Amino acid sequence: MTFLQQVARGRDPYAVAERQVGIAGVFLIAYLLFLVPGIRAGAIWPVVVAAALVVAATVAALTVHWPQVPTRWHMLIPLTDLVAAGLLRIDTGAASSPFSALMILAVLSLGIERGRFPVVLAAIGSFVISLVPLLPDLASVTAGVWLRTFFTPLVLACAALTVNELSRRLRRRYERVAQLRAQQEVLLSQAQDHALEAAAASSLLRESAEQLSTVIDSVTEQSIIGTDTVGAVDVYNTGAERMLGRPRHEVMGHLLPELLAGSPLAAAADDGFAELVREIRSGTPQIRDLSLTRADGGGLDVRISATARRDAAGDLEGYLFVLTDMTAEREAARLKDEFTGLISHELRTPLSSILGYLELIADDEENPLSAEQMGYLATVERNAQRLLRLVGDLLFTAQVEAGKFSLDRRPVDLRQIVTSTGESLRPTAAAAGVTLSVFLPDGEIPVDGDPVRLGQACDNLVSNAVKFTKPGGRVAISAGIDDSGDEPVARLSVSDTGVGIPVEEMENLFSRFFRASTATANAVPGVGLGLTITKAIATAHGGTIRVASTPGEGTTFSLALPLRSDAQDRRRLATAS
Amino acid sequence: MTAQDTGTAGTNTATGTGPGTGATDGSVWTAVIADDDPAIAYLMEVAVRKAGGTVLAVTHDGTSALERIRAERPDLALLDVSMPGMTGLQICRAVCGTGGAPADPHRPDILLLSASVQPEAVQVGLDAGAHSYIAKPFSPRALAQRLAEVAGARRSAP
Repeated sequence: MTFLQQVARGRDPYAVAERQVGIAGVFLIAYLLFLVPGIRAGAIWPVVVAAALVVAATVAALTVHWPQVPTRWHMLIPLTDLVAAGLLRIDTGAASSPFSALMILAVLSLGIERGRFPVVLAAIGSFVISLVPLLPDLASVTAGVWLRTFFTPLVLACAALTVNELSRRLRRRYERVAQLRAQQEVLLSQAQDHALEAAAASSLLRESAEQLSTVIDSVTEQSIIGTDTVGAVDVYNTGAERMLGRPRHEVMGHLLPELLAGSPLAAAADDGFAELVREIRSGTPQIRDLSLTRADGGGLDVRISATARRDAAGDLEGYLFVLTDMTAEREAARLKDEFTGLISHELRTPLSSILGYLELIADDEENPLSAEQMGYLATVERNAQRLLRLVGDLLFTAQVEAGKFSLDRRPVDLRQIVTSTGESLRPTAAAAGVTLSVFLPDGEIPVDGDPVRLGQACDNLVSNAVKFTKPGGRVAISAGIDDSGDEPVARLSVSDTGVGIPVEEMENLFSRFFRASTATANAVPGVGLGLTITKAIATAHGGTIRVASTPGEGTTFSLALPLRSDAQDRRRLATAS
Repeated sequence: MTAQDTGTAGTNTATGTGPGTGATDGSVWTAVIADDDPAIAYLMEVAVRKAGGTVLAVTHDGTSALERIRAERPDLALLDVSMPGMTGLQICRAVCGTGGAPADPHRPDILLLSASVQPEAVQVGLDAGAHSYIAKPFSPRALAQRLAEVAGARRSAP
């Protein structure tokens, strides 16, 4: 506890002792007055008792640990002094005693004590002290002495009150100061806390910024390049340095298109960048494949993913570009294509000879074959054709997988596709003992498609249906315009009364090389590419394929294709009018 | 064997600079054949004969094919795409002037035959200046028909 706080609580450890030492000093001087000729006491005992009281009070004031004593008891010391002063006055002339002034000290000291009660005590005490010397002979007391007897305590009480009030104010001021000091300390400690927090936050921020840049720089296999809204580079990681072969200091602040040398973006400069970021700005991330030229002149195939950078408020700050080196992947894809092409080529070449010479044998008019031999030859040819189709299918699925499958689109009437499939497969169906029927509407079914591919899809569905239907069964091909959905579509359905597809195998139906258990169980030939190809063709045309099947009852495959847009518009007009 | 098994994968309508001078008879057209597989080359020969043409030369590599084309000046050239020496495409570019050098003054209609049937491969062939791009395997009968058409068109061209 500080001194000030002790003062504020009225527990000044020294105040009582200090005052008492002062008063004791004055008493000592007063006792020296007895050395002055003419000043002497009537009786010696009051003087001795007074001295004893003062000494006792002084000793008590100096020895007692006042802060632990209730403030009320502090009054005892000045009260003792007051009694001592009274005793000194008794036989030294009472009202006219030279020691009367000592009462002032005691009264003032009493007045300093806390509360108004010490003032009342001072008034009563000084009155009693003034009265006591008069008691033995009250009758001889003059009016002047009476007046002094009442007046002196009154004056003393006033003095005590003044001191009391002053000390009270002083104490209050001290209290207020102490309060302010305490508040100040609270504020100071709060300020210190804030400063600590701010320091912690800023170090955290620095750490997280450092961490972020470490993380970005640890990405060595991808380039991370950030730009502001106009395309000036402000983030450039180690991966970018490695990939593009240009050090950071060379590119910071430069425009991104300059960096992407050799790409269409660089050629188009500002326009290219504006074009690239237009989509990103609207919130659609962009992924592009570009070929770049490294700083050392080497070529580089990259996939660039571009996204917008936004601040906490969601305002556009710039763009972020992540470049992945696709050179190896593209090389691998190219090799795979090359391999597929090579295999396909190497398989086709011997087939060319087989099929060509078969035809020469069959067409040789000079040496005609017997009917039996022609039959054998037909079997050889059929199987050679099957092998050829398989090679074609393999090549086609490889193209689909490589995303290189292109359509030769033109206006097509779906009815023609269905008719030609029906014609070409009718002999096969007849041979299998399956009735093949075709249902077509009178009007055109206009689609925008590749007739060869659509024919292939239709052939696949129908030949599957025939293969999986036992003799005596039926296969129906139907086509028409389906108005049941939101948009009218061209629909091609192939239904059979065949073995059906087990439910658990439905989801694998369109996977490459998948063969249904019913196919293996019934020894149906095939390698499992037909439906994969059919689905790829449907998808490439923007269409869908659906299947519904009941094991033992039959299966229906249904192909939906978008109608040709001009035909769609005509239909809309027709329905509107 | 059906006609659709063979087919003409692509066609250029450009015709040559005029009738061949290698023909011994105005009514008969001539052809040079090149394929590294002699069995296939023989099938081509059969087709040419069936279509009424005369085979001037059969070679099994690209370099001699070009020599023979320049020496014999045939109306048609049936070239395999992948051959040792020069590919059918290179010969095509050399003859048609699509490879930078000027075209031969006498230029046969070139039919490329290949087992590579991807649309890109066909386009490359047509861009090289080939008249037609024919997919292997081909039916000799259908090829003969095709050759007769091409030769007929060349004869009737001004």
